Amino acid sequence: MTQTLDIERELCGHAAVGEAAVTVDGDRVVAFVVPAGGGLSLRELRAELGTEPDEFVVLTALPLAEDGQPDWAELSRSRKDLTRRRMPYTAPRTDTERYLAALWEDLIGVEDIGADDDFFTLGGHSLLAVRIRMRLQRDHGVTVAPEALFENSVLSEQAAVVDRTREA
Amino acid sequence: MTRTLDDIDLTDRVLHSTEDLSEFWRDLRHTKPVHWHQPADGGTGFWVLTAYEHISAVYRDTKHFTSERGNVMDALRAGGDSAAKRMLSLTDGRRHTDVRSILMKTFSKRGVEQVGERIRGITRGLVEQALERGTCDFAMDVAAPIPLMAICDLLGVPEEDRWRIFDLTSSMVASETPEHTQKDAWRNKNEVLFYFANMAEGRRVEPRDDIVSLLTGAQISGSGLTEDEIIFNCYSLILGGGETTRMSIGGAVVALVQHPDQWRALKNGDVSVDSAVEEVLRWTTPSMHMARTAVADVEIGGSSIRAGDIVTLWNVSANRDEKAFELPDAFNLARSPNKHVTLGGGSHFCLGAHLARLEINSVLTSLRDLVSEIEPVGEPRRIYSNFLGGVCHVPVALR
Repeated sequence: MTQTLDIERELCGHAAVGEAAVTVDGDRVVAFVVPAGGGLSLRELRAELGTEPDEFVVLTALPLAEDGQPDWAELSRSRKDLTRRRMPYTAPRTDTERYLAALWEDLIGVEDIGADDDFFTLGGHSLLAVRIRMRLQRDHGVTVAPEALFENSVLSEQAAVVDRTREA
Repeated sequence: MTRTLDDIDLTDRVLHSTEDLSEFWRDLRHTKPVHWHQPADGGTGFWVLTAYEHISAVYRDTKHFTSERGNVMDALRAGGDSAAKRMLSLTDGRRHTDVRSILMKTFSKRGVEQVGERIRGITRGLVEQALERGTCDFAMDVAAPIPLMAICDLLGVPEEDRWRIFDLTSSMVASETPEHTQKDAWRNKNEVLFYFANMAEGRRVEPRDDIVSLLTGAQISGSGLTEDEIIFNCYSLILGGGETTRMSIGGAVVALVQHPDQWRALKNGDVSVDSAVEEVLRWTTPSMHMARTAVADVEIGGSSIRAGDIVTLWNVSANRDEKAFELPDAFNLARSPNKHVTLGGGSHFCLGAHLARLEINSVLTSLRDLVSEIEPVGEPRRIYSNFLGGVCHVPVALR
């Protein structure tokens, strides 16, 4: 219990975090975080924390119960919902897949992105796709058409598009 | 035949373009002004409000309703807008006031007057060209370029990119053909966001005298707007600035052709252009609906709306409500009072209201001063959308 409170206190004091609530859900310590407004990289956040939770769930708002406390039942549902949308983990295999997985993790706010995960299912949207396109342009000099990202929303397919575009 | 509640699906984007729903709206206003609608796709249902009284009250009721999850039917039914809380129109409270006051510098009455001379000049030129040619597609040749040039001037979009931006924005929330896929809309939206993301990066390094620089340089209690806020607001301004007024201007000419007495009244100076602008806004109602989400249980017109419910506000119906307008189905340029809800109401009242009025005013003024007769030379064509309503092609002969 003190562990969850410690993590919560540390998270709430972090500049990139707007709100946080930490609990033990099943046998995992889960931290629910709402970004402060700018970008939130879970990888960077982990590196800066004294005690890390087992799992992060990034939300746009913290659901509150009538007493003003976090609505734990609703939070648990959000976590289950996110878990349901994940594919069984397949580690990224190529450099492009690993690059994209790290990029998605930062942009979508979901950890351990696998080669079979789907951009839209995990909450990817237009502006995140724009960020992917801008980063690909900057880091790889590759200009990917938006419809190519729309049609190839699974990570491994998206990596293949990037590789093909680079070769073309 | 009058369509009934049971066989109509308001989410259908073709319906609004191909059917005259005025009887349907009148029916709803009289029998069920607060109606629960379950669309055919089996997805999320929503409330349909059609009475002026209720709609204008909801616009002002920030206690029970929020815009922060989205403000159009499709986005809300899909689980919420991805721009929520980052686009001005989808932000409430203090942040909304702060960001709006930044943009108000440009969109206040005095602010838009800075581009007033230029807009009036462009409009005059376009109407003169149309007169020289004899026939034109008023929607494409006049109605499209005026708001496009105005909003691009303000945003700082260079001349050479403007028509590409037009092609993209004109098929984001609406289209000229019924076969328009989600992929097309997504692609175009993405290109526009990408364009402004790049433009914002450039303006951070080299600011100019335009809205994108205003947004990248703005400070609210010591910190700048987020990248997301900047990009989504540019997107919102190009869409809100370009598309809606295009519909009103094209629709104005259709209405003038259909009501020759009103054209003569305008031409003879029997009605003021200012008054005519308001009637054009009421008559055309480009934003057919807006939507909100209830944040607390509330009763409207005897119906219990629950927290979390989606509530759609049908401006097209409110603007024809016989309880708010005398002879609402008459196109009457002298109408007074004319408190239409075309520009919404409350704290989210259209940011570009002064600009829209200036643009429509410039068109009506040029028509009055330069044109003696307008004759149709073909059928007007409507766009397909369940949100934006109006005409994309208006073939006319001007003399």
